[in-house]
Amino acid sequence: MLKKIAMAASALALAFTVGCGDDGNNNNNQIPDLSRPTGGDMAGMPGNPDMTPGECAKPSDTCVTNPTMGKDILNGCVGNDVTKEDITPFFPANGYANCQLPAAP
Amino acid sequence: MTAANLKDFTGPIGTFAFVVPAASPVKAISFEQAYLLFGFGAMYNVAPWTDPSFLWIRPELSGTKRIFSSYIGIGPAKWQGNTGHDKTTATTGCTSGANCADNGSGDVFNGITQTTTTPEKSLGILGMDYILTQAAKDATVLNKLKWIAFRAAGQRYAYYPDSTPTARDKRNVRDGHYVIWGPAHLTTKVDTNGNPTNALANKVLSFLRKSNTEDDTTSLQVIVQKANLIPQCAMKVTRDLDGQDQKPYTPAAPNALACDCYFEKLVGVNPLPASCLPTTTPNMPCNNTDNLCGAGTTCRRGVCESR
Repeated sequence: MLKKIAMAASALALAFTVGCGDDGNNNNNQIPDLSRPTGGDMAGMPGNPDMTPGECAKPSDTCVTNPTMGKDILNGCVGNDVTKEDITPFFPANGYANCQLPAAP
Repeated sequence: MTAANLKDFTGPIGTFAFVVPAASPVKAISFEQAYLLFGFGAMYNVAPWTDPSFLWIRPELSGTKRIFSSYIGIGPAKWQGNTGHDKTTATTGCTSGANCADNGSGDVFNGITQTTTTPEKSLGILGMDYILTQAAKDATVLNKLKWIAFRAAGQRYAYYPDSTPTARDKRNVRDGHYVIWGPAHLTTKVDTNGNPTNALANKVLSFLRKSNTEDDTTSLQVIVQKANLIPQCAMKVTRDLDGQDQKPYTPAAPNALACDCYFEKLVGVNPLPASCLPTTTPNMPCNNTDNLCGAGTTCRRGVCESR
């Protein structure tokens, strides 16, 4: 069967690439706007000089049970047998001034 | 796909990973780190990857690179790092020049695994299917290189593709905790009804896409054990397009029957979860008539599936 797959290569292109409609630019709606802390008293909004990277809002430590949508799925609960890595500091020490990443090149 | 007579069929799922030398102490990378590192090189001093000459990447048109681009927010033409290697030395990175040849997966592998006194500085991108296929030929591959966990934008923790760094169950891909994955795009000419015009191409498509039917275990074995890909029937999440948010996915009868337990059996999970096994004879495969699977599960391909 593998031989047959190879034989069909000229007629069938098999590739891992971005799907139709992605022009390869940076306007990708998978990347959420993490530039602004959620909730709070607006003290950490961009432009406020007292906000340091360590104070930027990060996702909740509480996992989501029965997630049904994008970010909830990312933070859905997992079993104790799943290895999770906690990156510290949560946000990069450089390049995250005012809780914002610089514009993409 | 823009050509009117071509159609893009999605096939099995490929998983992609950031890779480092086995000797590197690094365990994970975040979306923010990857964005700053591959978008700006050394500018933001993303430790320990402070030298872009140790970044091993692929050229702009690489599908692997474009998958990563979808999840780190840097366009494929804008990445910092070695998109090529010097043809005369093979392991000297480059980005342009007469002697600079585009990197393939093997070149990324060579760049990452070359001897260095600073393994923590090296970082590359590879498809897991490539790594595991190479490891099947030469087990020492896994002594030279490892894949690390990734924390997506908006995610609290970083996850490996598998449940642990050494597992092979792709559990975090299948349930949406690890986002750097994409379906194989199977592209062929079609007729006005959207059916492949080439009989052999149609046969290959059927082989790869009919893997969800209950009686077809051969294609699942090839997809999982030979190609090191994930059949769609083992996925619990899907996307409309690469790069978009994930959403729950449940294979639906009659053309798509879940294969969670069968996938785990094929990748060697041992012991299988108890729910995958017959209740009274867990050491024996179930069959379609013995009715020995637990409540809420159905015997399929010799294991008890809950979806």
